[in-house]
Order: sequence, then structure tokens, then C-alpha cells
Amino acid sequence: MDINLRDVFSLLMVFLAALLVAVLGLFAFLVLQRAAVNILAKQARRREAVLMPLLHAALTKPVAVQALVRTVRRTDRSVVRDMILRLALDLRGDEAETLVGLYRTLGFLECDLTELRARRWMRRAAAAARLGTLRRPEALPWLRSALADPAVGVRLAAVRAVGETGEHAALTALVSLLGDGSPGVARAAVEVLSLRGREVIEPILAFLRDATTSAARQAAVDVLGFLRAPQAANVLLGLMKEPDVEFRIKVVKAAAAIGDPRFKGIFECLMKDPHWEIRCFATKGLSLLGSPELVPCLRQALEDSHSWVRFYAGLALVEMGPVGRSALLNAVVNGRPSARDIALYVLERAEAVPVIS
Amino acid sequence: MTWWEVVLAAILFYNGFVVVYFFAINTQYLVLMLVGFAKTRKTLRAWRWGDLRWLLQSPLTPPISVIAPAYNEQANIVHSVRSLLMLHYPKFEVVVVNDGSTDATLKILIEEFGLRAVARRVDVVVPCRPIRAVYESREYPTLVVIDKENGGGKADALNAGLSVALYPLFCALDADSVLEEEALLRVVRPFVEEPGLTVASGGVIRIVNGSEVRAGRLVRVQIPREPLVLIQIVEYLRAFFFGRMGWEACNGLLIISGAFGVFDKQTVLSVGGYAPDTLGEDIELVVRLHRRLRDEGRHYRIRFVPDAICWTEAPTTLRVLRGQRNRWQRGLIDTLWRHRAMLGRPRYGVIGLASMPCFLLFEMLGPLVELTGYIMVPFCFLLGLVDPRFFAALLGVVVLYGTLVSITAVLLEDTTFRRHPHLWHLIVLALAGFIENLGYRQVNTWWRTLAFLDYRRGNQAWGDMERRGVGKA
Repeated sequence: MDINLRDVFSLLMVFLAALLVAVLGLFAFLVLQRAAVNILAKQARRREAVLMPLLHAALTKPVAVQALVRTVRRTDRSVVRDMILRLALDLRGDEAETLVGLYRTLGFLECDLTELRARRWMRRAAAAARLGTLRRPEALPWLRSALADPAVGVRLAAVRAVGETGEHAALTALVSLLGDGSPGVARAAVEVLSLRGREVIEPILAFLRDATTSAARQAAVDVLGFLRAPQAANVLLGLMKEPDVEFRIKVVKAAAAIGDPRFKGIFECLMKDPHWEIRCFATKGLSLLGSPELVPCLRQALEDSHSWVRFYAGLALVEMGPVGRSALLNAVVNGRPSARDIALYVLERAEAVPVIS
Repeated sequence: MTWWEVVLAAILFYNGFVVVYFFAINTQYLVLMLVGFAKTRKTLRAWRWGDLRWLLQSPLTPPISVIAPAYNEQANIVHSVRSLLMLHYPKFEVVVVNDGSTDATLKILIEEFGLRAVARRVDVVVPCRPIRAVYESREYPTLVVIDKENGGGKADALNAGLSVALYPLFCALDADSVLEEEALLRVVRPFVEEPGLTVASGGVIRIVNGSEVRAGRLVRVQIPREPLVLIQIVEYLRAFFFGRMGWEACNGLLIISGAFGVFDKQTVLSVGGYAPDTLGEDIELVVRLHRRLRDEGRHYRIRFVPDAICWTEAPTTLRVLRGQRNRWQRGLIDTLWRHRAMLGRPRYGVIGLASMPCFLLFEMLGPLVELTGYIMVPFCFLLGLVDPRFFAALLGVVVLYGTLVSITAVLLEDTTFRRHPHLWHLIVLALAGFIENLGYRQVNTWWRTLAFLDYRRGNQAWGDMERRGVGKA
């Protein structure tokens, strides 16, 4: 027993010594690494202060490019690349062109194109994102092949990069990604096409006609709604009677965003739909049409069982001017408590009645 | 064997257990931190140039209702609300819930933001104490203030906020918190990346004491002078940052801090909202979400985002800290007791087989084991059962292992975010990690042990939280 305890004690002492060494070592490492980082950061700041004026000069005077190229050391490359990318986020037009020229002259563009074929997906994705930030059409062939990359992260970065370039052909290539197996990539494609896809509405409509999965069709309908594409009105009208409720909600939402007069009749019918989301979007759609003949229908919607439908009906009425407001005042006097409350609230928001205090 | 020998053997066995337990708990922290660090690096590397810009302009970035319950927050409320209104986010509303404050919180809000009572009908979606009035502002259309009766704690206030919130996601926030400008965009990222899958996402809580805050924005990170707060900074890094990130990496996150978390409103409503009869409403909600969603066989993710940072004021006095820690411990005990059926059940996956058992063994029972250890070891020493050198060596190991874990946390923070601008900050924090083991840890253990008695007595007191105010206008 005695021997065992002695063994345990020696073991404990060894462990204690090891811990002491580890604590001191870790502390020393903490201090040293931070000191080193501080020195490097200081150097980077100093170099940035030297390089930034040269970079700005190079942007305005082509002769200054060589001065910049001569001044950039190997250790400065990441600093300069980050500086250019930061500027690229905000620059457009000729200055952006010059900036890209500089990026190419310094060898970064070539480097990024090579990186797009790197073994690690994170490097490929980072390169795609950088090319996207620069909005380079010449990188499109590579970016388009990155759209088919097996790694989700790379496809995601490539979708956004293609979106940054805004090139028609590339955006068309994005349409097929609305049906991507990864919801994140499909969502990114919706995002990009919603912002930049005004010129590719026809391919989106064609995709919608051919898509087989519900998710892909919903994504296409989403884009059409975000783009407020009146060309989609007939297609959407045809889809309003689909049995899939989730899909129908998306269709009505898109139609409400487009606000085409062709939807007037169907919106009025949809006000009686059993699903509140559909009634809600139909109300929103009617509010966009803003026709005084819709007042009775919207007044009816003020009595709806769902608060969102009542809210949008109230908003629609208040925006219609005197006719709508008189319908709201009618609801205040004659409506059910829920209709009265929403009418009071929207009138109050519009400062049409004295504030309750 | 005589009965005395049996007692001695039992005492020695228990001492051995305490030593093993101590190693296990610190090793668990160390492993979780290293796993969390690896995951943090991976997450940060996945960020690309312009990602935030896309999120900011995307029509698909989901709108958010930021719900900030406020009880007697007159010192901070204006700066906090201003900081919330200035958040970088495409579409959001700020819902401040005045939980029947007895100070001038509501009056200050009305005056500062030009609020007026509106006839907004509130459809109560989860039960809460009566709502007295809803205020809106003409100058700040995205601000809504609810005045409700006090009672039911923070959970009740959040439930009231849920009834008023308009958007599909909501962010639960402490009214005294200072969010970094892009924190909301970052914390929402999992919802955008994994639409339909992510049901909750939490951000990192860090301590703002000593730092410079202007107009609701953190402008310079500094460290406070109070040793008590310094120790808490290290503690937050160790347990609330890398620890949680470690659990997230294993898909076993059990808590999203009530100070900063984003949830899918519909999912939270489907499980009945926050439980007003618990003090750990944050951990309870997350555990309930896990339980219900796994029972339903639904695929889901609860995420922790390392670069979405929320700064909050930490207690500066022992009295307030005692109240806070006691409350956290009662909340933990209550949650684990309520959901004890999940413990060790394979159907709950990592949660039932790893997270909950670890929380039970190391977080809930930890103070009891530690306290008995603190009593037993000196007792044995006095009885001559333990060699004085053995005792001293053991004490040294305890202190050094704890310090090692703390310094590791400081180092990992510095190699990822480097929020502390000066080298001497790190040195002070490392020293705080050492000092923590010489008194603070023991006192904390005592407070947490008392929480068992308070829980048994049914004590539901929240405890005072004195605010000094973190910002200057």
C-alpha cells in the first residue's frame, strides 16, 4: 500500500511539473505570438500607408502602375490584394476597369484562375468569391465550370460571383441552379436572379414549365415575384389552381408582388380561400391595384378571421384615400371588434384620427 | 475490517473519485474548447468576400423582430435601443417589452423616441401577463414598445413580445446588450444557408465592462479594473464561447444564451413559447425544442455563430454575481429535471447521450462534488490520512490545470478574433485565469451549491442586477 502511494505521489509530481511547464509554455507562447502578430500588423500598416497612395495614383495615372509594381514586395502581396478587393467593392466604371488591370498586372487574376482548380474546396470557393468581387467577364468560363463543382461551398461562391458580373449568358446558366440539390445553392441562385435576372425572365419561365420538383418550381416562382415580371402573369394565372397548397401560396405571393390588373378577378375569388396565407397575399395584391371598386371586397376582408388579412385590408383601404377611409370609419362604427380595432389602428397610423393616449 | 477502517476506506475512495472527477471536468473543458476552436476557424474561413453585402441586399434575407425585454433598465435603455435601431439588417423591427419596470424606463423611452400609445390589437399567441399598452413612434417606424404587467420573469416578457412580433424570425435580446453592427446579419446566416433546417441560432456573449461605448456602439475594447469582472471575461471565453462552439460542432448545443439568440417564431410557438415558470428560460427552450423536434422526427439544426457578438454588462459586486450564478444554477437544475426523460435515451441522439449527461455530471452536480472535495481533502489531511506533500501537490495540480484551461481559452480567442488590442490585456487576462482558482472558483461553487437548497425551497427570485450604464451618448 505504501509503495503504491509513493508511486501515486511520484506520478502526481511528474504531472504537476508537466502542468507547470505547460502553463508557463502556453503563457510564453501567448505573449510571443501576440508580440509577433503586433509587429507584423504594424509592418502591414506601415506598408499599407506606403502602398495606398501608390495604388490611388495607379488608378488615376497609368504611368504610376509601374511604380506600384516595383514597390510591391513578395511579403506585400496579400496586403495589396486585400486593398484592391476592398476598393473593388465600391468602384464602378473606368476606375474599376483600371483596378482590374492592376490586379491582372500584379498576377493576382492568374493566381485566382489557378486557385479555381485547387484541390481544397475552400481555396476554390475563395478564388471564386474574389473573382466575383472584381466582376470580371473573362473569368466567366471558369466560374461557369465552378457552378458544377461538387462542393456546395464552391457552387455557392460561384453563383454569387456570376451574379456580380451580371452577364446575360452567365445568368442564364444560373437558372438551372434554381433546382440545385443543395437548398443553400438554390437559394443563392434565387437571390442573384431576383436582383440581376430581369433579362433572363424567358429562360426562367421555360425552367418553370419544365421543372419537375416542387422546390425548383417554387424557386422559379419566387424569382418571378421578386422581379415583378408582368410577362409571368399568364403563367402564374395558370398555376393558381395547383393542388399543392405551399406552391399555390408562392404563386399568389408572386402575383401579388407583380400587381398586374389581370389578377383582379382571381384575387377577389381567392379572398374566400380556406388558407389565410393565400387570402393575405390576395389582399396585398388587391391593395397594389388600388381601384375604388375593390373597396367592398376589402371592407369584407376587414372582418376576416385572420389578423394579417385584416391588417393588409386595412392598409389597402387607408392608401385608397377618402373612399377607403370612409370604409374604415364604417368599420369603426359598424364592424366587429376585430375589424374595428384594425380600422382604428390603421387610421391612427395614417394620423386620420386623434391619437389615443 | 473494523467499521472505522471501512469509513476510512470510503473516505479515501471518495477522495480518489473527487480527483478523477476534477481531471474529467477540466479535460472536458479542454477538449470542448479545442473542438470549438477548430470549428470556429472553419466557420470563419468559410466567409467570403462580399458575403455580408449579399445578405444585406438579398430579398431572401428573412425579416426579424428583435425582442428586448426591459426591467428597470433606465441606465442603459436609450443607448441599447439606439444601438438596436442602427443595426445593419435589411428588414427588422425592434420590440421593447417594458416588463412593469418600477423605475423610469418607460418614461425615458416615451420621451426619447417620441412614442405614443396606439390602438394595436394584440392577438396573444402564447399566454402572458396582461399587456397595458402598445407604443409606436412616428420618427422610428421600426420601434414598438409594449408595456406589460410585471410577473413571469423574462420568459413572460418574451412571450408578450412574440404576440406583437410581425416577422418569421425573432431575436431574443437583453435590453442592456450592445450588439455589434453586423451581429444580426451574421447570426441569421445559418437560416439563410440551411433554409427550413435551422430553427435557432445563437451568438457569442462577451463582457463590455471597461470598454468604450458611444451612441450604442462599441468603439474600443478595453479591460475593466475590477478583478471580479476580469475573471468573468476569462470564464465567458472558456465556457460560453469555445465550450458552446465545441458542443455545436458535435450537434449537441444545449443552450443559446437569453442575451442573444435568433429563433424561428413558428417553431417556438409550436412548442408553446418560453416557459414562464423557470428561471433558465433560455436553456429550457432549447432543450424543449430538441425534445419536441426529435420526438416528431424532424430534421433540424440549432447553431452557434462564433462571429456574431453581443456585448453585455457583467456583475461588478459579489452580491449581484451571487444572485446571477444562483439563478443560472437553479435554471439548469430545473431544466434537467423537467427533461430528465431525455437523459441517456438514444432517440435524442447527441443531446440525450452526451450533452445532457455532461451538463448533469459537470455543470449541475459539479458544485456538489467540488464542495465535498474541498471539505474532505483538508479533513483527511487533518486526520493524517493524506500526506501533507501529497495534499500540496494535489492542490498545485488543481490550480495549474484550471489555469491551463483558462490560458488556452485566452490564446484561442487571440488566434481567432483578437478583440483585445493590447498585449498587456492578454497578460492580465491570463493572470485572471490563474487567480480565478484561488477563491473565486470556490465561492462560485458555494453559491451554486446553495442554489440546490433554493431550488428545493421553490425560490423563483430573479436577483438584482445593478446597471452602471455602458455607453455615453
